[in-house]
Amino acid sequence: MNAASPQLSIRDLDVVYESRGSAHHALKGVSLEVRAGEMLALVGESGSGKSTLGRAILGLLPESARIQRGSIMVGDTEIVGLPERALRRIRGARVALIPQDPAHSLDPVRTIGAQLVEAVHLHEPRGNTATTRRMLVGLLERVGIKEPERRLHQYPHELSGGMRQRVLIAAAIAQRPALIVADEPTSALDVSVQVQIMALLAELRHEMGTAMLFITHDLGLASEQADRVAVLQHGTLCETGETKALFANPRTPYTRRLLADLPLFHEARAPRRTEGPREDAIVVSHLTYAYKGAGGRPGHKAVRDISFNVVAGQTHGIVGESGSGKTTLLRCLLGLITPDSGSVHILGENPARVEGAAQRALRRAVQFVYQNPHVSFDPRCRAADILAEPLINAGLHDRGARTERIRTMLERVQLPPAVLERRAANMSGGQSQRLAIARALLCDPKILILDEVVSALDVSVQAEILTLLETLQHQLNLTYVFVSHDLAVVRRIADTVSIIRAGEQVEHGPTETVFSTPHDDYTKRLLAAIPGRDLMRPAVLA
Amino acid sequence: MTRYILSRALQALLVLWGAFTLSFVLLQVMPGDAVLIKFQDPELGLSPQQISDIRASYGADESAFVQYAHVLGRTLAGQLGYSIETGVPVSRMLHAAYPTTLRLAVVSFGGAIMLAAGFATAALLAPLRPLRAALRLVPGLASGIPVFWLEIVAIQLVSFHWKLVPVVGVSGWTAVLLPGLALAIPISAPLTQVFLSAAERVMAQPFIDVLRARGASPLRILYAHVLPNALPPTLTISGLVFGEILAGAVVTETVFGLDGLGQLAQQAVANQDVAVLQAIILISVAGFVVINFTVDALHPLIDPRIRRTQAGGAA
Ligand SMILES: Nc1ncnc2c1ncn2[C@@H]1O[C@H](COP(=O)(O)OP(=O)(O)OP(=O)(O)O)[C@@H](O)[C@H]1O
Ligand SMILES: [Mg+2]
Repeated sequence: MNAASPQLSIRDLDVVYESRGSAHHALKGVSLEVRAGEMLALVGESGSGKSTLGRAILGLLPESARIQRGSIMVGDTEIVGLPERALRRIRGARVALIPQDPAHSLDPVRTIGAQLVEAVHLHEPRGNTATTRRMLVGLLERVGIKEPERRLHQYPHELSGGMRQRVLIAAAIAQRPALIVADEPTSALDVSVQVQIMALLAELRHEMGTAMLFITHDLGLASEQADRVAVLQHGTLCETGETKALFANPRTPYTRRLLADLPLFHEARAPRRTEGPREDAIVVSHLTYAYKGAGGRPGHKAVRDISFNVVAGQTHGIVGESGSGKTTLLRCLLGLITPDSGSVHILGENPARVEGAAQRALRRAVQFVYQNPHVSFDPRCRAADILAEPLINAGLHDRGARTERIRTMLERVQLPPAVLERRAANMSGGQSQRLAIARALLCDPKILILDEVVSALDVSVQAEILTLLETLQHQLNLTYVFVSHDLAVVRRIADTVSIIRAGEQVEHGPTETVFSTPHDDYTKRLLAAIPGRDLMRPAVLA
Repeated sequence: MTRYILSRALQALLVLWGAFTLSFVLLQVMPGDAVLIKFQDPELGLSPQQISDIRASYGADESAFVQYAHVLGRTLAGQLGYSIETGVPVSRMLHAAYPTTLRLAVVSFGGAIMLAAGFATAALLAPLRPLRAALRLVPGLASGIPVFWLEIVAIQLVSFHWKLVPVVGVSGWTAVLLPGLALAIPISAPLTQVFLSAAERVMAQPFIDVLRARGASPLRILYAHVLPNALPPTLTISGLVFGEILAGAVVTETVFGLDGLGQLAQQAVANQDVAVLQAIILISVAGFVVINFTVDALHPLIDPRIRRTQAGGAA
């Protein structure tokens, strides 16, 4: 096939979700093309319709969705209106999907081998299992899996996230499809794994000449990987262009705002001087904790010899990949577990030792805000009840006084009073994160522990929340411990930073120093892995 | 692993002992006295002296505690005693009755599984959403139908009206075919409900979409992927359904005139035949324990994630 011929061409696509009389236009007049060997990144905020487009290409829209108008050509086949049987012959063979969440994208009760053989035999019904398995060994090797024969006999839970995504990639390329739709293929992976997977996808694309539609909300990643970028806003394609040109010279205000909200565009936080005497709110020295192994044997050391201190009114960032020991460290700070050696002092107290009134005071002074507020709130509760609970627990029984406090707190976090009547389940990610912060602030804390609080949010919402946190810190002289895997975010908000790897603190110091002159190899690798680091520059956008 | 099996076996013994004790206590407080009821009949012409001798020979005048110790000792030795009504050894009565009930259980359970599978397939794969929602309601309604009513209708229609399956003068598997299938309907209802809700949870998982994106057909996804994933909760409920089969057997055997354990139990209650009742309770509980043990032992075979933790736990 001609290298310049489009493998995917979409014309004037309108998709509507219909539910009980109301209709929601998810895509409005979208047109785009992806050529052989090319990667088009489809970017946009959550809910802009990216996944809807990906599903439409695979003919996998939910029953409630209707294609009102338009055409989707894969090669020379029209997908719109194609009967289910014919679609099945195309899915997996000519268009393949690489899914978002490798942890839940493989059948947990069947072996890797069984699932890969099935993927092949769906399109080669007379295939011989032994031959196919031999072919699969080669394929797994190609996608970078060591000991492929052993892996074929294993179950998904026995593989790491990165390995599972490689298996899913192997399944996707098994039939040498002309087009691959990758919907956020690395958003569930650690940064360093993300780099490897993206590199593999680039290699495979060049090797096989596959066209790729890369769906992502990460503009940094798109800027690095894609040949062209298409920006989707509320179901409309607002801008399409060559990656370099588009990032250098965004034409629409929406794209400009998306770029401006990237944490990369903000300067690293300059060391701030605090007025008055420097007072340490948190002092951690030589902290070590090991979980008990089976049968009471001393287990794996989750954190080893960690030391840092946080000046009152400042922010300490903690960066580490999944499994690096961040959660263990936080649990020590909260006094939920007692360190094996070393010590933790918070506002001068040892959280694992204090008792009685002092303990209650410390518990109120240190509040925790969790990554995903949807998990920590009962989704059926109204916001008003969620906010009243900590006040009732603190003994504030006067209804009027409670309402007054809640009202001021909503103003602080810039939420309209109308949200009080909403249920947690019906709030956007940004709103529920604001609510979680409001709730933490109701007890007049001195310290907030923020665990991946902006990780699940769109860049623009992320930027708003980070600004809010900065304002609150300034107004209330709060001390933050800010845990994140996202270096760009930490660089923007933290005064000092610790980089943790496999329980060890490999680097520690003022944020600016760590980012400009890293000493440790791991830190250097992490910094090199920040997607779109080329865009890192002071914010000078008109 | 051995530790796990041992602790489960110990648990089973405790359950059996508890059931034995409970049934003994309950049967003791039943009003009346089987020996008196039977031998007081004036037609037998027994003198009060003879009656009290007979009572002594059954141990009916001992204190409850001595009786308990006596019956427990005897049962542990494998002796189930004699029927007060007929004087026949209880073990012989059980031996004659169990094959019918076992066949009934096999037919009704097998039928229930096939019914549940067929129905669940229809309810999950039916083309339109309202149709699926309507089918989804059927098991709940079916579980409300009284067994005896269903069975009488079955006899009337299938046997007498359509003359498809005879119910009079038949034996062996033929005799339990119609009653078994009738009993299968209420038994299949909870199986279907549990399977359907488990299957819907599985079908909401991302890997199902990934399979569809590879070109797998809905039927293939259902049988090769949804079924094994939704099996564990269904298996658990099918262990519990055994109790319903036993309860259903009492009604069914009475309606169809089958000589099985259910019929025997019903007669023993009517005659206050304590030894027979206690034996039936014991084997029912034993059956229940064995079936639930088997069900638990099957889980790791289906779910590799449990397999690993158990192997790890035994190490
Ligand atoms: N099954 C559905 N029924 C009704 N509305 C839906 C359905 N799926 C998506 N929508 C709506 O369609 C719009 C587009 O959703 P879509 O999932 O395509 O967004 P997205 O860009 O992929 O977002 P994200 O970045 O969060 O994955 C949203 O407003 C969403 O609420
Ligand atoms: Mg999406």
